[in-house]
Amino acid sequence: MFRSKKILNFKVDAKSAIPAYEQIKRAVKLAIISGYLEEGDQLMSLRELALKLAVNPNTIIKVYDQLETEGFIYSRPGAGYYVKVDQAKILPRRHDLFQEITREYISKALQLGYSGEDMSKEISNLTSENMLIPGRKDRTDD
Amino acid sequence: MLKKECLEAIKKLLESLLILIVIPLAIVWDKLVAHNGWPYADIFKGGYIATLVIYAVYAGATIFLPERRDRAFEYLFSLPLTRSQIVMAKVLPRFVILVILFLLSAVFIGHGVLASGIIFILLFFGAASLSIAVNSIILNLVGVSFLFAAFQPCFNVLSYLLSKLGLKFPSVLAFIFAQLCSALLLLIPLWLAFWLTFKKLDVKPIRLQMKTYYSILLPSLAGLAAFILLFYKKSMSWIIAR
Amino acid sequence: MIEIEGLSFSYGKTMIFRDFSLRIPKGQVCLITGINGVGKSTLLRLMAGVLRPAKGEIRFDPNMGADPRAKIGFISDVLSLYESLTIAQAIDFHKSVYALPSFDDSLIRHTKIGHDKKIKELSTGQRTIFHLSLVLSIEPEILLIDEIIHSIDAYLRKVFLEQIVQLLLKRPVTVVMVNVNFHDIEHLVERVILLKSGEIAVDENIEELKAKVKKIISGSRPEFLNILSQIDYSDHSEFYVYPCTDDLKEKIEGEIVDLNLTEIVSAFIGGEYA
Repeated sequence: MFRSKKILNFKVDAKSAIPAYEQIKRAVKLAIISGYLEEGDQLMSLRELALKLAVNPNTIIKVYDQLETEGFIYSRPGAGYYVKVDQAKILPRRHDLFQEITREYISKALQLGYSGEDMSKEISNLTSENMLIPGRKDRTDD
Repeated sequence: MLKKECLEAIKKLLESLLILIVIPLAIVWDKLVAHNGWPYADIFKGGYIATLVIYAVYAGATIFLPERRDRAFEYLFSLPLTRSQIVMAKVLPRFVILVILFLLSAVFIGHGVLASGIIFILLFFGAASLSIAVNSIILNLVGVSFLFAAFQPCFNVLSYLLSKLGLKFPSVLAFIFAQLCSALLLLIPLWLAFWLTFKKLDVKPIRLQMKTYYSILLPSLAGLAAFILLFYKKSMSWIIAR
Repeated sequence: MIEIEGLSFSYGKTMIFRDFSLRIPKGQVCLITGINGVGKSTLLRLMAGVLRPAKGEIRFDPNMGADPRAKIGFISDVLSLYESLTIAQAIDFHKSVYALPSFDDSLIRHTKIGHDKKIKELSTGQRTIFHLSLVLSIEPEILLIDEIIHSIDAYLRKVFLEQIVQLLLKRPVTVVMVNVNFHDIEHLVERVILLKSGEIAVDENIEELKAKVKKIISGSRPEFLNILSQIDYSDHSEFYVYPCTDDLKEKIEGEIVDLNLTEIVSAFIGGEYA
């Protein structure tokens, strides 16, 4: 069950009002919900993450503890933290995220003056031409 | 800390030895200009004594020079060293070198010098105790000069009083004992003031912290002056009578 | 652990602290902030044993030994060192005073600071890193850092912070930082203490502080809240309030905006200048 660690390209925003632990938690959750991190993927160790983000190690401990309690990850003593994909939990959240993104797109497009019909046409065009940019899934910015 | 202070002490010695340059200059002066016919030996002895005096004052006055110059007081006080350890480490190597130089003078100059050893103790410890009270070496020198000037009257009065107590003058031991007492009379208030101030010394700025220092020193010296004046006439007539 | 009780201290005639008390548990990363001149650096120096309290006591863990300074790493805002010494000489001196068996100079080598250079010849950044490596070499239980982080270049700043995180990963070190700029260190900090006139005005965990201090954008003044400071515009005002608890939030007419630490502290300090 060896998988290479996927890179979570993420930085804690110092200027944000959202506490660091919350930002990190959201980033990991998003990566799991969006499917970028899959069942069994190993997360960065506490040490690596604390150093990479330059945050208090206690913060990382808190994040991993909370994620474990919420059922997103599990720990193997002495062997690190791994992703747990509970479809029952993930799917509705994935759907929520999808709706949120869609709503955002729609409101922005409406602001620009495009109608629902314009949007449907544009979406069909882009998806049929396989304009999906490969590797898009690896962006995990909030 | 001790190793660094030893190196500092040696540095000060070498700097003091620069005064020895005066020896060849004095020789040249004498030979070419003054024609006094000073013997080389005398010029050398004079130079040696000068070096000894200069070292005593210079080494004493500069015990905190590295800290002042390098702004290192904060670092020094954050080290796990007590204030006593710090003062000890600074004073000891310099004092040891002073003692060695002084004992060597007996070799180079003659045993007679030994009787005046206490003066050098006065100069050195006086300068050291003033090292935090004044900012420059010149001012320190001024202070030490006052001490030196006060020493003789002090010595006279004490010799007189000690003779009254039964001490037999003029014996060498009585002489040295009287000198020691005079030096202590001058040094004790100075060192008390120094120690009480240094124990609580704040990193900045030093000049604002001299309240304790002067509040001990000035009354002590005033008292001492009064004490000397009280017995001065009597002591002078006693000396003349001898 | 640092325990301050009944501390009084004056600079000449000015009383900086009177009957001041503070307890910092072991392993906590604490930020002390406030306006310039309020006594932050003085407090740090008192903790470091550089200054002696006029009254009161500062206590540490008994396992720190007879002279706790042996286990306190202190970096002053002036980076006080014997600057006439070379790096090598300074390391020797430091080793001998702290009786260290060895000295790990990897940090110095990593930042390419030559051993023959005199300390006064170093740049501020290099001197800071050197000072840090001296302080880390004593394996401190307590780390006291005064306001030096933002005067060094971005790369060395990163190196500096990395070293702190590494230290925290190794041991529960109590860290007290004095800062007025927080961008880089904000995420290391667990507790924020704001000093005002020699007293503790605010003492909260950073997350609670962020939850309780909010900016209200409104046309009307929320009188039921404690307003730290406000900025008036032509048709509305911004009110910085603390504490903004959930029950009070419902009564607010206007927009509630979250704030980062810089904005929060600014709001507290701004109130002092009003």
